[in-house]
Amino acid sequence: MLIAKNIVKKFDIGGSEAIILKRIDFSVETGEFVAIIGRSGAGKSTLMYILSLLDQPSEGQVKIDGIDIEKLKNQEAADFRLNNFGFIFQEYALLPELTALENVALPLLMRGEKKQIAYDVSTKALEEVGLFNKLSNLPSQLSGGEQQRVSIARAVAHNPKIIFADEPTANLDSERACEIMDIFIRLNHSGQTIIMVTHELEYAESTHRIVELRDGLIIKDERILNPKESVCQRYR
Amino acid sequence: MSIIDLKVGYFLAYRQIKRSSYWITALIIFIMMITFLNLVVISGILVGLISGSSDDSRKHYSGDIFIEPKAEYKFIDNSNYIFKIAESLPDVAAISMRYLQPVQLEANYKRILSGNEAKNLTTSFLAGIDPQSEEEVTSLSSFLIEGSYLNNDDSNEILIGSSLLRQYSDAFGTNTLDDVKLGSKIRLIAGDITQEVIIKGIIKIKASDVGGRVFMNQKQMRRLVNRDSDKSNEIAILLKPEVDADRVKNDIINSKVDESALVQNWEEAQGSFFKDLSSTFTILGNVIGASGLGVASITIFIVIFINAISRKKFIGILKGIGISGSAIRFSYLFQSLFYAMVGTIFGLLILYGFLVPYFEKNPIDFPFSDGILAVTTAGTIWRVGLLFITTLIAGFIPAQIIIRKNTLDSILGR
Repeated sequence: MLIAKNIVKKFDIGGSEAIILKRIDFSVETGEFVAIIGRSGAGKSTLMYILSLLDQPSEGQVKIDGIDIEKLKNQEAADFRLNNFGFIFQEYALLPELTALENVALPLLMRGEKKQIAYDVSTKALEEVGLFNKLSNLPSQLSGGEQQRVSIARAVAHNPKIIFADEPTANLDSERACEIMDIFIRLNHSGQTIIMVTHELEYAESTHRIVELRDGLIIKDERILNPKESVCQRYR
Repeated sequence: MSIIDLKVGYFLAYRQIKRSSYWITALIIFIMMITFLNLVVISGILVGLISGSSDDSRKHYSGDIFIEPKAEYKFIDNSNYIFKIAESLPDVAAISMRYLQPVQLEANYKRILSGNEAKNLTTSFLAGIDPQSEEEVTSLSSFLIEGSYLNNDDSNEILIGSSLLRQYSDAFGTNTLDDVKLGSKIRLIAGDITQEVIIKGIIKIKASDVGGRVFMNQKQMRRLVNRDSDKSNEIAILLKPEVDADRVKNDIINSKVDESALVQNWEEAQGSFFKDLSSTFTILGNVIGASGLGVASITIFIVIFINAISRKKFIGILKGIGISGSAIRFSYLFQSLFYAMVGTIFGLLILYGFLVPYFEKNPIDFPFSDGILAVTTAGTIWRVGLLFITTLIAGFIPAQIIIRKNTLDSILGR
């Protein structure tokens, strides 16, 4: 489904060239739940940005379902992201002037859905993440965990091919973080492909596969035979 | 760019305005309103200054059609024929035929002058009028500030313009008569002819063609200066409401009036002076208005720019999750449009609900006219359009600057 070949990413830092990703080959199958882990500066977020079309590789090729995505122009790339990806950012990235429902409905409206349909689908998505009673709340009226659940609802509402999650639990306490992870597990069980960047091994172990980066190289690509069914079990 | 972009742009703009600070929104709208009023009112007053003067001249001097001798003639020959022609036209409401004579006016002429004391003299035009006809055309009696109006039986009575009298004239100088009141006797001197007359009334009007004249019953005046009734100097014609002056003017010309008569509509009669002055003041008003427009556009630019800069990360996220640049751009354009629209609506309400009626009732007292607020529908629409276009450009540029930034850089706040 997703194939990345020979991915190189270079940055010009103060006149000298820094190579962040060094010829990475990487692929993800439909329905996989992959955790990309590594220390700070290992290149995990950079890799995710390239895979999700938010950034361009300096060299290499990324194909999704056979489409060479780095060749897409700006608007084509935006349309591709809209139709194929769902994003979950570390800091929730909700628009402060939109209610929870409106935040979730926005990508659907951009896809041309009628407002009522978009709102119905969004309500269902929020219901699935346990926020049915917070539809009209603004982000400022929600806790961090609730905001991240809205962000998940926004990412899944339009039924994307892949969800990219960048450190989705980093700003949450353990209890809220495990709730988020359990939502991911549930989504994955229903067939959703998820690529998650995290630095927390405990959460990575609830995925199917852990890819570890160090200094721009994949040093480990390990499949988990029996991933955890729930991260929250220990809190119950 | 598509309908979806427009819809999403509106969706975002509506919510951003709805949930932004009411005070900031009110302040921006206030600035837009002031800008609109600045655009319309400043030029409106400047043009109104001239329009007031021009209107005065039309209503109280020339009428809708004005006939005078051509430059090479002293009189309008066959004046009575022209009068009859005009009188027969169905669209003519009233006609006033005037006979003019340059005169000297001397007051206190019985007093013996001491040493090198100058005579109490001034010069003016003596206008012989039919009091009733003149009243119908120019409402002359409404400008009486002292005394009473002329009637057909008057013989030695005159009305005198206040600008000829020192106590009413702001311009101190030798061209005004001193110590002349209602009932005073003054001397009219026209060449060899001298006649003592009594001041029956004093008129005060800013139209200089009227306020500097002396009026007398035309029969008495013609007898005094020995003028034939067929040799008038001015014929002012008032038309019925909404009648096209040019059409009636052509009807009169086509009736083979004497070649000495110059038949003009009221605008032609005023010459290019008012038109040129009006154009100059319009330009001046537009220059002042343009500077106000500049201030407003900079305000909108700064407001949108600060808004966009402070929301750079969110704009990045919007782009990241697939919202098109066009939709984001539209959201800022809609916001700019909202500020311009609401500001303009308040401005229009103040303009037509308060300022225009106020200035109509209380004209500005300028020395040569009563200044009104000259606001035309076409002019207002043009200025509204100008304000909208400027605001849209001022909103578009900062939005475009932020939208063009790299999506990932925006998300990461780089």
